[in-house]
Amino acid sequence: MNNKLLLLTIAGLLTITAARADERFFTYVYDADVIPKGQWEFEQWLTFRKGYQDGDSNFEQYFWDFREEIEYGLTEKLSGSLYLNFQQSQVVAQQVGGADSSDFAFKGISAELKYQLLNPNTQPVGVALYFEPTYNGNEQELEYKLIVSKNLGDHWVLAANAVYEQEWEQEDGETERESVFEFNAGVAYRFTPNWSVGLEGRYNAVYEGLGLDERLGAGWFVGPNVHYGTSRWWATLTVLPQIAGTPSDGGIDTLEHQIFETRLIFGINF
Amino acid sequence: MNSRITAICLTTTLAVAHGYATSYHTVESAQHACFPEGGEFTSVDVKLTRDQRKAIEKASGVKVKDESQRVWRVINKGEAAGWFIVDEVIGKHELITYALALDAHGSVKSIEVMDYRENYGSEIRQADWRRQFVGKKSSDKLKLEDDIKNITGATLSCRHVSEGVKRLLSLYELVLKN
Repeated sequence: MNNKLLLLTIAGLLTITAARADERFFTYVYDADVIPKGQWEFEQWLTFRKGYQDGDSNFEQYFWDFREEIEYGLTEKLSGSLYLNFQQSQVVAQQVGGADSSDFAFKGISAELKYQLLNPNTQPVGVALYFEPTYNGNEQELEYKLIVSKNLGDHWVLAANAVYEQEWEQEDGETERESVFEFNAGVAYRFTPNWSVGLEGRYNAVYEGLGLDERLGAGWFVGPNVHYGTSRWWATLTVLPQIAGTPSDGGIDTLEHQIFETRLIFGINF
Repeated sequence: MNSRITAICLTTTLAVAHGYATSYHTVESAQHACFPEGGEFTSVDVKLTRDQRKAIEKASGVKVKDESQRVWRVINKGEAAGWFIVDEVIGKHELITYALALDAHGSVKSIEVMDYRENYGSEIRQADWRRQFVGKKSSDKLKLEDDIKNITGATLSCRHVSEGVKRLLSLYELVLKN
């Protein structure tokens, strides 16, 4: 309990009162904008995921993922971030006699580097490269993204990402290796200086081995988002149900993917 | 679980900052900054008709949102010295109030940022950036990354001020000049 309170206090201390946000119009899709040089930003991520434990619909599984991110503009084109990751998980048995469980855990730290090759505001297309390592004791992850986006006038934001992840997990002297390929895209429309609405979609596939060797499962997710931004803070909410997947269980993948996700990101700059 | 979620959300929510606007000039100080040689400023009641708004939009390519404009005619030692105009454009979320000074021939003499309400991007106040507008006429493009350099991290403020100046130069050609 004390460790949990300490972690929450650290998270709270990181929320220093701030000036203004470098806002995100999507929560799953990245755009090629970077935070200006010398600026700091704090983001609070909250992701809720619902699925079935090991694909068994007799055990509903819920995850609350919290990420505390602090970001800094290192140069005009390069930004860096650090994350603290936490997770609340819960399994609810759907049949009498089944065991419920609940757990809150620190899930490691992540770092991020994002480099802008082309500016989406001033060039025909914006392009950025992204790298994110994660370390959580016996679990390690490397994530790479190619980001393409474009801001069309004052109203439209378009973005698409190609994502490749490598994952390692050590248990009982053995190392399990998996890899992930994801393609995601989003479109947002600013209908006032403060509000936008949009759509995000993801194709996410999990593979045995580090080189996308044997596909274990794939899911398609599509859903709406809404964004509000001011000169002081911003918030974006996305709702993302799985609409199709394989191997199919009623048309969706319940083994490697969740059936429903929603994410809220709240950001402030200082 | 609910109390932990509430605690994390609350610690974040409590960190919402109070933003503020920075005022750099009053109308009088902006007039003095734009016309340091002095002059007599006479307020002109400019109310645009629908046809005038459409003509300005067509000439400048920029939408005219307000039918009225705050304009002063400037006379120095009995001769026409130019025009002083106060205008507002949206930065990214908030309004930027700026002053545009035109010489007697309708070219940009000076531009001053009066109120900046966004909390970054105020680099548009830098003299180097504002100096790009000096001498511009209604026939100039006033386009970012073309004849006006952008400021990284302040793109929307740069673009909207540039568009505002282009609109006001068309206002001069079509309304004030005559």
